[in-house]
Amino acid sequence: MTMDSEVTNKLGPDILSYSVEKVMVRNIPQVTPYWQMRHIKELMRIRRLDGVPVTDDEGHLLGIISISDLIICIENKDLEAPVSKYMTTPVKCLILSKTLIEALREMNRFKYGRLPVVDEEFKVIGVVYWWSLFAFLQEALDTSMVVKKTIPSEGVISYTYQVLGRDFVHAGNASLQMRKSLQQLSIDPKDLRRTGIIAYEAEMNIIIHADKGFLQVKINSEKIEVTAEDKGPGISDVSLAMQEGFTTAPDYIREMGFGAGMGLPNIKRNSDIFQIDSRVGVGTKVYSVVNLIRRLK
Amino acid sequence: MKLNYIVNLIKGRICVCQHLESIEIDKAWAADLMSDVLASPTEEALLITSLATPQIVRTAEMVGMVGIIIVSGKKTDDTILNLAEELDIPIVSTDLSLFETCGILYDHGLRSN
Amino acid sequence: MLLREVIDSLNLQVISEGNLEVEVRSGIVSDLLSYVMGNAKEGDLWLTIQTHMNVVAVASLCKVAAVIVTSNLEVNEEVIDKAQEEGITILKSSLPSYELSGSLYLSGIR
Repeated sequence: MTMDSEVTNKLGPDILSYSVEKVMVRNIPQVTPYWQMRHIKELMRIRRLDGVPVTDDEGHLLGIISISDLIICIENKDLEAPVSKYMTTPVKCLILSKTLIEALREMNRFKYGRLPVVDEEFKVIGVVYWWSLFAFLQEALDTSMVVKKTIPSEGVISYTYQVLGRDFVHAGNASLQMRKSLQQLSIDPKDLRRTGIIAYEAEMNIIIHADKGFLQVKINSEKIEVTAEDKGPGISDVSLAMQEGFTTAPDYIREMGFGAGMGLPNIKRNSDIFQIDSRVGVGTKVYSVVNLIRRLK
Repeated sequence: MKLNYIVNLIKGRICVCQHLESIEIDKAWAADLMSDVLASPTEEALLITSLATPQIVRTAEMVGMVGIIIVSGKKTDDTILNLAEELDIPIVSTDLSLFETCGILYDHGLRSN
Repeated sequence: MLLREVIDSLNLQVISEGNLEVEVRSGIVSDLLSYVMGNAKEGDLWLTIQTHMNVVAVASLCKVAAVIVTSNLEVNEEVIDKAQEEGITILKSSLPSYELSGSLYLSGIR
C-alpha cells in the first residue's frame, strides 16, 4: 500500500477519513438489466464514464457494466442485447459510511477503477471513480495559482495569473480575481463587462485545450490589454475556430457547460482590437484591446 | 418583480441570500453553457440554469447577474454555496424543470430584454 | 397542438424536415445532452443552443418531436444532412431559449 502512505503523509490523516460521499459521483443514470447495450455505449460516451452500476427498478444494486464488458459486446456485434447479458455480478461496493482511505485500499487491492456506493438498503446512491478520488485529492493538495502584480512603467498596472490546463475545479478563478482588481479602479461597468468576458473565455480556452498558460491584463489611462498565452496543441485552422458553434472539445467537457464553440467569437465581439497567433504543436496567443469609454485618472 | 415573489411562483427554496425582498428582478436569462451566460444581453439579469457548479457562479458574477435559480432539484453542495455567499449572489433552487421555470416567469411578465 | 401549428404560430424556420404532423404536448430546454437523454419524453420539443452532431443522435435516441435551435445560431450542413437522413426535424428561432420557452408555455405546451 505505498500509495496510501504517500498520500497520507502529504495530506495528513483528516482528509482521508472523510466519508466517500465527498468524492462519489451522483446523478448516475439508473441503468436496469433490460437496457440495451447500445444505450450503454451512448451513455458512456456522452458522460465519459468507464462503468455504471446496474440496478433493479427500485435502485438496488445488481451488478456493474464496464467499458471492458462493452468492448466484448461490440466485438460480438451484439449492441441490441440487454445489459443483463454482459454485466458483471456480483459486484464489490462501498457503503456510505466508508472513508476515503478505505475506498483507496479497496480500489488498490482489487485493481478496480470504480466502486458503487450503496445505502443500508443496498440502493445505489453514487459511484466512486478512480478519477473522482484522484481529482479530489489533487484539489486538496491545492493547485493554487500564482498572481503577480507589477508596475512596468509609470501609469501602467499589470496583473498576471497562471492558468492550468484541465483544471476545471478552479475554472474562472483567474478572471474573477482579475475582475476584482479592476473593480477597484474607476472603470465604466460596460468596459469591465467586456474585459471580463474576454478574460473568461480566454481562460477557458487554456483550461480546455492547453497544458498551461497565463492570463495577463495591462491597464493604462486609455485602454485595457488582455493577453492569454498557452503552451498546447495550437489551432490548425484559425478561421474555422472563429466560427460560432465550431468546437473540438470532447463531449464530457461540453457536459460541464464548457466548449460550446463560442469562445473566440465572443472574445472578438467584445474587443476593439483582436489578434490571434497560433502554431500547431507549440501554442496559442490571443491579444485583445478594450478602449475605455472613460479615461482613467 | 421582487425575488421573494419569484421564489413563491416557482416553489423555490432559498439556499443563499439574506435580503430577498430587497432584490428587484426585471430580466431573466436561461443557459446551461458558460459562453451563453456571458452572451446574455444585459447585466443585472436573473440566471436560470441546471448546472449546480461553482463555475456557473463565477460566470454569473463575471457578467453581473443578480441571482441564480438552479432548476430540476439539482443538489447544491457546500462549495457552490460558500462561493455564492462570498460573492453575495443569491441562489434559489427549485424542483421544476428549466422549461417550466422559464414558462412560469415569462407568463408573469419577466422578459430577457 | 400539432408541430406544424407550433411552427406557424411561433414563426420558426424549418431547416430539417421530419414529420411535422406529430402532436406536441411538452417541452424541454437544456444544453446538456446527458440531461436530455435522462429526461426527455417522446414527442417533446427540445430547445437548445447546442448545434453539434451529437444533438441529432440524442434527438433520435429520445424520439423528440423536434429540436429547436435558439438565439439564431447557425447549424452546419453536415448536421442538417445527418438530421434529414435520420428524419429529425430541426427548427430555428431568433429568440433566446428563455423567451421561446416562455412563448411555448403560454401557448399551452407544458
